[in-house]
Amino acid sequence: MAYVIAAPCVDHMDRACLEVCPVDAIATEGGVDRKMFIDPDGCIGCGACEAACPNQAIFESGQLPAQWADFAWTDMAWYRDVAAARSVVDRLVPQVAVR
Amino acid sequence: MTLVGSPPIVKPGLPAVAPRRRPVQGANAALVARERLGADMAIFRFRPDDGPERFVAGQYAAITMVDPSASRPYSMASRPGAPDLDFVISRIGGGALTPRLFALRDGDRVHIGRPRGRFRLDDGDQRDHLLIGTGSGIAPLLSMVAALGSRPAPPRTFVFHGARVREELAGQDMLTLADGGWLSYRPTLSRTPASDAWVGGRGHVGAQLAALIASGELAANRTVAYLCGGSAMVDDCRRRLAAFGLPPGAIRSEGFSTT
Repeated sequence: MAYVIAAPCVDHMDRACLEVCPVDAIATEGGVDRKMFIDPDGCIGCGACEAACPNQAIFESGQLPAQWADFAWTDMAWYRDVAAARSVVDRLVPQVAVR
Repeated sequence: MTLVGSPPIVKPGLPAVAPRRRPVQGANAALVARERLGADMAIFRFRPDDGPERFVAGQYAAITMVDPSASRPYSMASRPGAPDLDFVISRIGGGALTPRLFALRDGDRVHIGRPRGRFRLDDGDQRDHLLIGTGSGIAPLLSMVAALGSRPAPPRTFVFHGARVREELAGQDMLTLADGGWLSYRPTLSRTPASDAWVGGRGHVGAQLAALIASGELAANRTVAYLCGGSAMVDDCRRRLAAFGLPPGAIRSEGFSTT
C-alpha cells in the first residue's frame, strides 16, 4: 500500500523523506511546490519516509486521517497533471499572505 | 484541510498519461531453480518477466498460483536489484499452496505481488547489526546480509540462524563464505543428534544471544536487531534485548506462525 504526504508537510518541507526513499518515489520542484509528493506507482510501502518525517506528515493511504484524504489525490495527480495538483494543494491549505 | 461547512474541493479529471516508470505492481515470473534443503524446505528462485523487482531487504511479496487460486506471503531472500527473486519456503502438509509450489518444474509460472512490509533494512545504518532468524525466517535476513555486503563498508554484523537440522540451514554456503571480517555467522541446531559431528551451536538461538550479550561484544546504544521467525523465538529474543538495554526502536521483528 502506497504512502501519502499530507497537510503537515505543506510549507514545512523537510526533505528527509527524499533522502531515505530507497526507490526514488518522492519528488518535488524546488521553489515551486509547497510539499513533497509520493508516486503511488513507485512506492513500495516500506515506510522509511514515514519514520524519517519530522512533521509526521506521512501516512499509509489506508491510515490517512479523513480530513486529509484529498492528499492521496494530490500525490497521485502531481505525476500526471502537476498544475492541477498544485491548484488543489493551494485550495486545501491556502497560502498565508506575508507582508 | 477542509473546514467544517466549507464546500468540497473539486478535483479535476486527470489525463491518462503513461506512468514515468513501470509501476510497482508485481510481476509474472518463471521458476528457474530450486535448491532442496531437506525433505520439506527449499529455496525457490523465480525470474520476473519484466526484470528486477524493486524492494528493500526485509520485505515480502505474495506468491500466487491460479486454478485454483492460492496465495501466500513470503519474504524475499535475494539481494534487492538482483535479476531473480529467491524465497525460502517450508512445505505445509495439507496447505493450499506449498505442496503445489514443491511440485513446480523449471519454467512453470507464478505471480509475485508488489513488495510489502515495514520490516526493512535501513540504508546507511552503521550500528552493529544483529540478525536472528529461525527456520525459513532466515529469508529476509539473507537479503539483508546481501545488501549489507554490497556496501563499501558493511557494519559489524552477527547472524544467528536456528534450524532443526543442518540441511535446513538455508543460505549457509553464502554465510559461511562471508564469515570473518564484518560478518560473524553463528548457526545453531535444535534437533541434531549428539552423535553428529556438528561443531556449531546446539539448542535455541535465545541461548546463543544470551552468550553474545554476556561476552560484552555488543553495546546496547550501538546495536540494531532484526528478528524473524516463530513468535516464541521473537518474543524471547525481544525480552533479552530489551533487558540488555536496546530501545524499542532498535528491535525490529517479523513473527509468524506455522499453523
